[in-house]
Amino acid sequence: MSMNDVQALIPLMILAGAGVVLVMLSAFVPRRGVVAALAGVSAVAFLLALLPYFGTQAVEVAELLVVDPLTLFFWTLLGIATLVSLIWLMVTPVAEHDGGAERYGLMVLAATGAMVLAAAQHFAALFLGLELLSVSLIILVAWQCRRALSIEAGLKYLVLSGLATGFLLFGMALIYAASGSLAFEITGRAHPAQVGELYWLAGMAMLLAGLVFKLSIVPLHFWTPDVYQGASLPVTGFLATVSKGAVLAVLVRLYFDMALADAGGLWMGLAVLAGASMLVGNWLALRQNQLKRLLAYSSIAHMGYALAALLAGGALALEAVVFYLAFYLATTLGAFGVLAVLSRPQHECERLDQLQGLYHHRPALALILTVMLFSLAGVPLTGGFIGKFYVLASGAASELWTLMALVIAGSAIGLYYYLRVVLALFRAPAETSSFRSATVPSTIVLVALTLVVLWLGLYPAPLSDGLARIAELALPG
Amino acid sequence: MTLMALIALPLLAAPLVWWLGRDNPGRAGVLALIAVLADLALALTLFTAGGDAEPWLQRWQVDWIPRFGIQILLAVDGLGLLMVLLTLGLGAAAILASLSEIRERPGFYYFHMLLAIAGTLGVFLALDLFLFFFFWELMLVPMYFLISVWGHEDRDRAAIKFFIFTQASGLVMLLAILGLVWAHHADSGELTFSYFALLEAGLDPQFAFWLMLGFFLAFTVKLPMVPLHTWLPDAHTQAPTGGSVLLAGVLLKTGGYGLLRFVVPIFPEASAAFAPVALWLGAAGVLYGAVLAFGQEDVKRLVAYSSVSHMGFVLMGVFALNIQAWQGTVLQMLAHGLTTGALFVIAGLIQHHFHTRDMKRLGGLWHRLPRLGVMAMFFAVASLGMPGLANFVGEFLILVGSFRADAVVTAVAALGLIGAAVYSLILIQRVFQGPETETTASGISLDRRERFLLGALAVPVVVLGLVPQPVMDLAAPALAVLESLMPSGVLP
Repeated sequence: MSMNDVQALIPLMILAGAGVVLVMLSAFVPRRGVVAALAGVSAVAFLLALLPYFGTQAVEVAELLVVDPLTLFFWTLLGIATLVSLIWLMVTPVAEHDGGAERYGLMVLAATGAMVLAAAQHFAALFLGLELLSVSLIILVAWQCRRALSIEAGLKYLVLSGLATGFLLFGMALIYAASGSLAFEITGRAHPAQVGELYWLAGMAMLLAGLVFKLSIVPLHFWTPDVYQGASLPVTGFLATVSKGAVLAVLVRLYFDMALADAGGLWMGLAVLAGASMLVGNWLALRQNQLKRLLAYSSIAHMGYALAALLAGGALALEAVVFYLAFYLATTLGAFGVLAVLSRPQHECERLDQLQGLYHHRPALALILTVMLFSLAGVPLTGGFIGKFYVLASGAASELWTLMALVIAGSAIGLYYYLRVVLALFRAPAETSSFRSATVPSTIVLVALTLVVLWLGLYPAPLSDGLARIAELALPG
Repeated sequence: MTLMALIALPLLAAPLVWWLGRDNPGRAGVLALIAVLADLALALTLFTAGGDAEPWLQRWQVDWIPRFGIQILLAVDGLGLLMVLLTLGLGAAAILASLSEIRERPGFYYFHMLLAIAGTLGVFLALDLFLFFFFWELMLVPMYFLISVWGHEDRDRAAIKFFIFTQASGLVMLLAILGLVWAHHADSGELTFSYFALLEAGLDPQFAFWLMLGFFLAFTVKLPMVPLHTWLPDAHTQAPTGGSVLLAGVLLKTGGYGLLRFVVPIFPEASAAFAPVALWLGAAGVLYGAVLAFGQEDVKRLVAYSSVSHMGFVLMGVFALNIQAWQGTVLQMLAHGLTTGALFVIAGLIQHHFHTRDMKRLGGLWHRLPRLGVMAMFFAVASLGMPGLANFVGEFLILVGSFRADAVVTAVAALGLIGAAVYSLILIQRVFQGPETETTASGISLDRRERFLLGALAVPVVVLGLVPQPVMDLAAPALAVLESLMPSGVLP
């Protein structure tokens, strides 16, 4: 490991070190605020540590990781999402016995795993990152150990994650058997390998199954609504954004490095799964009155759209999926943020009727949530509209008409349940309803997220130009 | 620059009106009205605009998303200008009609009203296809709020249905736009969404046909064409009066405008190939709308179905593919906007005074409200196509034009005129004549504002009916360009 490598790893080291220190510190410093503040500082330090890398050459770290413009973009995105998640963790009121300070350290550790994933170009790094992320998340999901739902969710996530990991590992073993390497690019070139085409294909299929599980693509989506509902709001938000974002990031790199676009059968399989996700996710959300479950199904559909964008292949697809991720993170964090702000200790804001008439009492919060829901639905003025435009643009460029027709059908179905929530916000409030008001820091973050979502929708030119450059560097030729 | 200002004015006035009029209905309404009238004055200055290349009166452009060659490209010709004037005129009427009806959250109401007007203006002015689509979707959102927050008893369902129909068909159009853009990109190497560039896209005929259908679907959902009309009766009926006026008067016209502006010129061969089907669909709409209008018990639903019938003529006019029919289409759109807008105002007044739209519970209004009766009679007669009034000119020209294209369809569609007479007179008979009912036994007379509003809508109906030539002259250059784009041998 050269000095250069160490330098490239500084941001990761900051995050990893902070995670360990914070978990240990929680045992000695009983004041939650101190730990929370330190966690926030570590996320900010991570983001600041990224600054010197912009505009530099790509650095490979011992075959395992690569720090190139694409990685930096993912790191920035996930770093900001982590920071916002930490803030939501701080502002969401919890019952006394659920308020352990260890949660901050765990979230930072999970974020470290996410960052490793986003930079991985080798199966060993992929595995390390994914496990670090999952194990920390399992504890976070099951944290409220006096709520049956929380335990159930944690157990479900643990068992199914374990199973997915098993698939992942076995897949890697088969790929290694077929190609003799664990680096994405080399194994990709081995296809179709002289000896092990069947190994390679079977290995890839199992590997993808493991990743698809984490993204909760149909048919491996069953855990999603239960875990979303069982975990506390900020943890769910983190799971929906940072965790899924990191897995999507590694999938993007895998897809291009291993040239999966040329692997006919696998490509077709992924296309079918993407189409199924859009339809099933949106369909199951239709009659859902539980907001967290609704957002869970919505995320299933959105991961389907993102996957569809990726499948189009080429530089435009890379741009599309990265833009999609950017708007999706901002929007989802905004939506979970509003719910977190409205929650009370032991009573999270999680049912649709709890939002009824929000506009009459807290117009600002209602409007912010409306913007977020419209963004998820893909209505103009919001980032979601440009995101959907990107998906359709890359699909149309590759003439994937069937998949694009499914995107449209999914969006049409999806509108119904997003609009149902919007309707509830503007309906006359129930007599008994009362809403908490937002604190200053959460208001600032919410307004900032709203501005980001609107900015992405109104003037995406700076980001789209930047993404075009990143895609050009990542996929020369 | 005027063009940008035209859209920006209501857009910027909207939050201001919301804030200043948040709990004062009168102030909110008056401010919104001032904004729209100022915008109307601004639009009138376009008549004196220094000419761009014929037929365009003015053009303005600036880069927006250079990655995709997307510009903010606005331009206006005679056709666009007429639509802009209609939008602002009816926008003002819709605001006037709302003044006494909207008591709840008035600032928020006029905020959406102004946004809807701005979005529609954008649709009529945008000539970058992405920008056009952007506005096309954007005008939905405020309309959705107008229906869902201030609508009548079954508003939730109506609002969601309206939104899903239009947005889903809109996405199909977006896909068609992208297909067109990429095909043009493959052909010329230039990535652009500009209307002027895409007019010259060299397309494979079969691919062009599919793209044309994508556009056609979005525009005919909005128009609406039978069988894609089912959102319309619900949305019109449940919307507050101002919303109904905007919907029927202006939003439906974006469909007809889109067909004339995009479908026919970009896909002339495909349109010609599809024309026989479209003509029959139009005729079906004319008859189906008329029959269903006749069967309604609800005043607003009756007027809504009459819209389906009238817009069937518009579809026929566009696909007759000759200049008489297109002239008729433009006039029909203007006339329908005015008369149906007025009929919705009348229906709104009836609902406001008597708290019902059910014709079984209405009757004998003529004695209580003679002025309203006269106005209703006037607009009903205009709507059934009485010579001397605007609708007659439009329908007549469309029938003349489509007769040249296909005599049989024209004959069938002409039967719709009988239907129009029947349902219009039924409306007058059941609501204004006959014995008074319990509901109508107490009546209030119209105030000055309501009389002024209906009078102001009646004037252009008469003027257009008697001297349609200036309007036809205004639209002629744009339509002549359309004609020049048609492949030879298509025009009869």
